[in-house]
Amino acid sequence: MNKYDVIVVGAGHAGVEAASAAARMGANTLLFVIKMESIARMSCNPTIGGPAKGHLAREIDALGGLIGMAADATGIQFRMLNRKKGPAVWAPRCQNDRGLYTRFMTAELENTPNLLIIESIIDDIIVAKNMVTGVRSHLGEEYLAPRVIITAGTFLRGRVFVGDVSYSAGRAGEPSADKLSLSLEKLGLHLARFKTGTPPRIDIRTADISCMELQPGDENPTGFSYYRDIELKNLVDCYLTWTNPTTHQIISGNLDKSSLYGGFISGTGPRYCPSIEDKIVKFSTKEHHHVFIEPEGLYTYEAYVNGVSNSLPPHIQEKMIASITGLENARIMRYGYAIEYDYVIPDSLTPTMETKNVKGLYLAGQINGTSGYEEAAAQGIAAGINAVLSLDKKAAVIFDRSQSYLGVLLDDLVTKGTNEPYRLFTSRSEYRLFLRQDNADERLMPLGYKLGLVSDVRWQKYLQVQKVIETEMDFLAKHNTTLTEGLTESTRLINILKRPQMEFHDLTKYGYNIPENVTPDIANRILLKVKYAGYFKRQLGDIERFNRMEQAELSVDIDYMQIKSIAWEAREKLNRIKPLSIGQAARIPGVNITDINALIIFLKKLKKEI
Amino acid sequence: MNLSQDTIAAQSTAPGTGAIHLIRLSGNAAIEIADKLFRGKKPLAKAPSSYVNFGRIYADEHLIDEVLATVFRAPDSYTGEDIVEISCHGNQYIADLILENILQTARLAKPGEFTQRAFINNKLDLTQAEAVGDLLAASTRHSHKIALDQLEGRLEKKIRVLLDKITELRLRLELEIDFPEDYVETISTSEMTVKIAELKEELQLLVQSGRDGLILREGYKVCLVGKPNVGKSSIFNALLNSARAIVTPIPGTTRDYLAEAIALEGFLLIFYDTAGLRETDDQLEKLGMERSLGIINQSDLIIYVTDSEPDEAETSKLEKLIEEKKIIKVLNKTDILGTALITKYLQKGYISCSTVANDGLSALKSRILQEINIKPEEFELPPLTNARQIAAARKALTELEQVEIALTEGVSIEFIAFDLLQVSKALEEITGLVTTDDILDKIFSGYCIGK
Repeated sequence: MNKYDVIVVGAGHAGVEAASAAARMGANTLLFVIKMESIARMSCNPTIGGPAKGHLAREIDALGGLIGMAADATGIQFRMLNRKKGPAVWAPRCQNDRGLYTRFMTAELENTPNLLIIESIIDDIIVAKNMVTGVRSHLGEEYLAPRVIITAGTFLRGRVFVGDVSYSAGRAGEPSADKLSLSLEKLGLHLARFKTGTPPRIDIRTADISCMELQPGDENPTGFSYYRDIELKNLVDCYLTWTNPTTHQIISGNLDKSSLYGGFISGTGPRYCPSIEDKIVKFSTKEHHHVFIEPEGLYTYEAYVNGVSNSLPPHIQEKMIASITGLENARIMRYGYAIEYDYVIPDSLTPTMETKNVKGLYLAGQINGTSGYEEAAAQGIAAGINAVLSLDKKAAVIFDRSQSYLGVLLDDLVTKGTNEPYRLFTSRSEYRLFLRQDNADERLMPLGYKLGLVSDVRWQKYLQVQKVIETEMDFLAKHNTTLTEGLTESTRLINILKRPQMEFHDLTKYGYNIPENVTPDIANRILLKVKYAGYFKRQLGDIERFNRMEQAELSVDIDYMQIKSIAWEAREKLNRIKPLSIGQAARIPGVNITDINALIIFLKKLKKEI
Repeated sequence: MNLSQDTIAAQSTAPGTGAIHLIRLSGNAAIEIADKLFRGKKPLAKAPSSYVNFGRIYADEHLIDEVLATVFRAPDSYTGEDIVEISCHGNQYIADLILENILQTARLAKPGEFTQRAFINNKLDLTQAEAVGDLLAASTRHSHKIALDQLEGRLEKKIRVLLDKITELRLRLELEIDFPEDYVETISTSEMTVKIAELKEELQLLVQSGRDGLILREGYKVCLVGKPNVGKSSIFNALLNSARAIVTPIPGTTRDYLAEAIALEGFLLIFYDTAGLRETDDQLEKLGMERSLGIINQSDLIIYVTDSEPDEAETSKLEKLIEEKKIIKVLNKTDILGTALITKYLQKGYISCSTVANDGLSALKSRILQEINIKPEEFELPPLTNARQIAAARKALTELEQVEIALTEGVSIEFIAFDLLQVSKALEEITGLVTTDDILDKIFSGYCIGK
């Protein structure tokens, strides 16, 4: 009765992707959630996207995941960041209705065949002979499956801090999962502590938005999902205000009461998302820090005060908020808090997110030391896909860092580990010019379709778009300008696009009529392909070199401690990570080029001896 | 399996007769192998590291020589492995005999293998390893100095400074790209242009220093050209103070070319005496002239020699041939030429000389030094000293020029960031050190990021 193919523990952003992918790939899947009402809950800001994160959301969508669709369907404000900077780093971002997002995802999962959801707390992972066989709930019930994916987020021994008060919780208002930590430790996984935090939420009716800077959505909203034709609407505005020296005085005068600075928290927090206490202490010369007021949804007056995440006692939080321009009379609805939780040091995983020491056990999401919904979702879908592939005895999908941010994320985690909650940035990719938000479908949709995660309808639309791009590029390469505005002689239309500052619609000045099926998206893709062909060619050269290193496979059976010509520290690291290729070996921190040379010499010698 | 490397041995001093010869062994079995031959107060296995031990080398119970032996134990040795150095008397026969006996159990080291092992065992970085090679080959005082400087990592420091400047620019761009909502001050195109121009100048200097480095290390190549029988070989010989080239009055004696190196004021100069340039049907001579042209192309300086009426057609033909080369024009045989003719030539900037009267040669030498144009104070700059380094520096320069173009074309910043990264990569090739990209670390520590 209680036998499944895949069990997913946790229904956050990683868990929902893992369970959905597994079920849609045909596995009989069981998903555990601690509280049914909090499936795919946005526990931090109600936002999806931004640089690298938006790219990731589009990649997951192209692969057949849910996050892009849910974001588009429940989005209430859309912006394309970096639009004025560069086309290769345009980054979609949206504000979401927090409640709608959860409801949308819940409905999606409920309507997925092969998928069962149960509300329960899982205490134990059952393992026999280094193979996972199932899980045990806090009620003592056993659920069996040969593949188990743990997506416990911040719930492992989670502890919420507000001032000098702290209590056990997975996040505000939900119980933590304490016994699961012990179970993971017993399996030989190494755990450490991270911290993160959230800001207070206010009643937006009590804020004076008239003295803040208005932040409207884009005129032509762009979302995340490919070929689903979800109508995007801007329904709310955001607002920008700033802290001031008074705010800073209130904070620095009460630092000893903050959980973070009062010595109550030991875990490491993310440097890119510092608490307001951190900002004041570490950047004391800055007189103002920005504060964004972001509405939480259409059916609530709650608004997220982005920029002042803190763990100060409630009355200090009230004083601090009241010192901010426009928030003088603001009423806090929920207080900010810090949360400290266990994470598993991710070098115990392979790039499929499977643990090295327990076959069939996968970890995905914040449990691996990452932060962010998109990062979690990416690991979730990768784990879900690979759990089912290995059940079906098919080759694993290893996401390649030259092909996707997903690959960058997974490879960074298992190869480099992380000493703070890991967030993706575009600068983490060596192949940024190629990993754009516009071409995620070209990079990942064929794989998603092959895996059965992309529907036929979407696939046909994708093929159609590819065909239009090909046809138009061919046309531009073969046809000359007919109007010669500013030209001494006629030239191929494609040459016009190559000129600096020339946009696609400028072609109309040279006698080109933009066909109806060339949408703004297609026009942009063609422009990019033509204008930056030289750059892309250079980047592709890099990718070829990268692939050669990546294709030099390493057996996981190599005992690096025996290779005396490699430095001791590097040997230890290689033995721990067990890289799958020379390329991956070279990326391990502490393994330098001379170690790699020695490794190559060793392997060549070995080959000769055999 | 055990990858402990086999033990290698070689004579470390130049072959021939000298005060002493040094034989070096490196590897796991170095001490054991040396002990098979060495007899002293105590075996080398028990001798302390880095101390000199007196003893005798025996082979098959026959005494070969009295020697001094020093043990350097891993990892505190040049290669990072166990090393034994044996100093014997400076007789090649003795040294050969000792090495022969060692090689019954050790393997003869390939050229540069000791240094290669030092590199593999993390004792040296790539530029340092190359510098050792240069140090071994250093034949003049200036090249010796560069090799020493590089060994101290001065080149690496210089590259590091350039890399830091590029990183600073990249950091500003990455900030804009990855943190668009953080309202960080952006970098303007004009500021960028100025900084790139500064960087370009520094890189150009580096490439130029590469040329100097090559001259200091491999020598300044001077090629003598001119019609047959004008006395090129006489000048060549006079410069060398020897009679290596055959000097005869029959045109076309020097069919191929001759090369000889001398040290002049601390510089290494390599003189090439080429076959005379003239129209000929002689196949052998044609071949010689083809080679001469090859030599001319590789030379840093051409010395054009003549001995009679100026032949405008010939000099213009020559000048065409050597378009971008530096040239010194010499009028030879002034001892048998008329004063009027000599004056005419002097007015045209020729140096007059006579190998027979031993006249004008020092003027020629100082002109050559002038053309080398490397100031002693420039030796403080850590120049690039081999072709690999110079190629990498040139590549960096080309990539930087790409940034310049991109800036003028108004290309957006992610592409400029890409170009800058290529500059960094090319510079990293010079030192062989791939730095981990710590841009994000720098951003987090230097800027208040995050909502």
